[in-house]
Amino acid sequence: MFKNKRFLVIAAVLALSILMPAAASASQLTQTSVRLGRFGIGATVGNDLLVTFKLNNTPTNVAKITVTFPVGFVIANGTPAVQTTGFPNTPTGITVPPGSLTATATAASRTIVVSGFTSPSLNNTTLYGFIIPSGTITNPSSAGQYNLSVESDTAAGATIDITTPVAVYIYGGVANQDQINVSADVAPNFSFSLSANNDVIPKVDPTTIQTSSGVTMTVGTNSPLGYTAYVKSANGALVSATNPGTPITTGTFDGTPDALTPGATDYGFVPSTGASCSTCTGSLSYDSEYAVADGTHAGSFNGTGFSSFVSRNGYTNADQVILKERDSVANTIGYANDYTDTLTIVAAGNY
Amino acid sequence: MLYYSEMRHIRRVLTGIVVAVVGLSAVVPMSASAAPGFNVITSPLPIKINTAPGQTVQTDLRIKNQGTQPEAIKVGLMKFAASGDNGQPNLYDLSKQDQFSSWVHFSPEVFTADPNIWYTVTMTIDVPPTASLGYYMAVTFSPADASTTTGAANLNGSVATLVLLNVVTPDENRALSLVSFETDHELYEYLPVNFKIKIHNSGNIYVSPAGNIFIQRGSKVVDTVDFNDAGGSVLPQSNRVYTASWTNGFPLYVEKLVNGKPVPDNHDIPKETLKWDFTQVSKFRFGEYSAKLLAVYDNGTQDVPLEATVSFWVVPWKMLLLLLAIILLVGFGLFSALRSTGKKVKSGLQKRRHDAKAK
Repeated sequence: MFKNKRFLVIAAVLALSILMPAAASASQLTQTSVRLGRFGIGATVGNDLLVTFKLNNTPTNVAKITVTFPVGFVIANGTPAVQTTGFPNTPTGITVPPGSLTATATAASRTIVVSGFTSPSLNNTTLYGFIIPSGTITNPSSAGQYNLSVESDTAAGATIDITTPVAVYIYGGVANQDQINVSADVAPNFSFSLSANNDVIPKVDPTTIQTSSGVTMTVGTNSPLGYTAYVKSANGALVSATNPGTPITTGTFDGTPDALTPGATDYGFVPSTGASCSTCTGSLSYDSEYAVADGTHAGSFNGTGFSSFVSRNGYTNADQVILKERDSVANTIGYANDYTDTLTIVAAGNY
Repeated sequence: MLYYSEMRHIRRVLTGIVVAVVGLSAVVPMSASAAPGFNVITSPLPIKINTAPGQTVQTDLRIKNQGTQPEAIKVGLMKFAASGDNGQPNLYDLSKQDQFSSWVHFSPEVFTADPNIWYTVTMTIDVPPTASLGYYMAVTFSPADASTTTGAANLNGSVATLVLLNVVTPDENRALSLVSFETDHELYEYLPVNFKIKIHNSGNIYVSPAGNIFIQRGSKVVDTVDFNDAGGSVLPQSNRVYTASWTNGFPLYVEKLVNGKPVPDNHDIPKETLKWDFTQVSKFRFGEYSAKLLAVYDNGTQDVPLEATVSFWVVPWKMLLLLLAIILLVGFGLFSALRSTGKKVKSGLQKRRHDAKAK
């Protein structure tokens, strides 16, 4: 009889230990991971800590998560602000735990305790996560494998589940070997384009002033010194092979735009701003000869030499300047449809 | 089978079409966008070369055709000089007196640039033993096949890269002097404060000064502004005006942006708007400040300092007036309320006395 009782007790204990393992001792969390921001020895800067966990037993009793670091890690005393944004994509489905989380880091015990969970809302099917920002954890000064533990606790601090070891690997012979210094050079650049190579001035007669439709010059540069653009007329006039004796000559190059009058011969250049730059410094300014704001003035050409017409004293992603030509003729200018000139447009970075 | 009369009719119609087409082509202007224009990007920007007489120096110039079709490009040479005092070059065609043109060679001189490929042109300068001091060149990249359209203004685009060649000789004289250091106003409501620094080069070679402007309130330095961190040069026997701005303040006038783009006024100068960045509130500026310029240049043997100081005031007078108005209003309100209460108390006392007498 006594023997039977003893067997029964042993059998019952065995059965219970199989059926109710949790009752025997604290079990492991269902899923756990930690990720340090830095793996280099002695690293502090940028060394945040991501903790993910899936609860196991009595999730609605969990009020705290405790992360314990092994000897070698240095934990700064403090109350780091727990972050719940910026989770990585892996592991998938990291969810912000319910509650208003706070953390207490203790140097002596090398622990970080996160509390403030809304216990009744917790479950054991969701993968929760939080981040302890950098500034609290300093990695060991020696490379190797280090085992952390992560545990779920009641409000009173009793362990419910604990996972240990959670391994992290610290490496390097000297500091910052886990980082790559990236350096880059940006080459100075200067871009220039013309939207077309020719520009037709509509047919003019002694009663009108005519203006071409324009060609768009676009300049971009990363030089903080800016740039200057120049124009040069090959003839200082619109010349005709049919009527070489009556060119449509340019006006006076004197720092002031010419006023064109129907019936009086004149030919000039009219630059104006098109689409504004979106990333630029300094300002776009026109030389006084070419500061034209109406439909009856034009800047004269500097004979057959270069003259600057627009400049910027800073960098720009794209300055658009519309280049137009304007003319008027006396009634003695010979009729022909071959009046032609060639303008050379040059843009150069400032020195 | 066509009859003779029908054939004559068809011939007349065809002739009419041909005449019409020819006539139209002569009368109707060509479209301005008939041919795509020159579209390139070059690097680097102004190149500064130091060498000695009798030496050969080389530098690489890079260019990329940003158009969609291959472009034949020719490399040319011009010269430049200072234009005004803002660091803008004035370009000139070479004349027979410009002997340095025979020292300079390009490889290649003409080439076809396929779209979106960087090409390197090597500029070789065989400096003769007789050369000395500065030579200011502009290397141009322009279309090699510039076509001309009759009856239109033809536009040939070019990009110029400036090359400042210094042939160092014993008679080199590097000498700068500070002409003026000033602010554009004496009184500012808010930052930025804009500085103008005018420097004269009385030497015979270009020089690039650099340094800092120390902003002081009393004897305490409150901020530092870089001077000529872009490395702009002063050409010999010319002036150059540099600008710098102190922008580290709260609130701050900044360029007005609409859809991310600056809004120009009638003179193409960007409009300004006041930016209130309350994270910068500790940089609220008020009172008299002085700005001390400390620039240096290398005279060949040592760094030579250029120093000057200018004072200015920052007084947010609109804010002060508003504050004063609020204080006056509150004071007037308090005064009125006290006066009214006093009157009531006084009349109450008088009434009591009157009632007491009546009893």
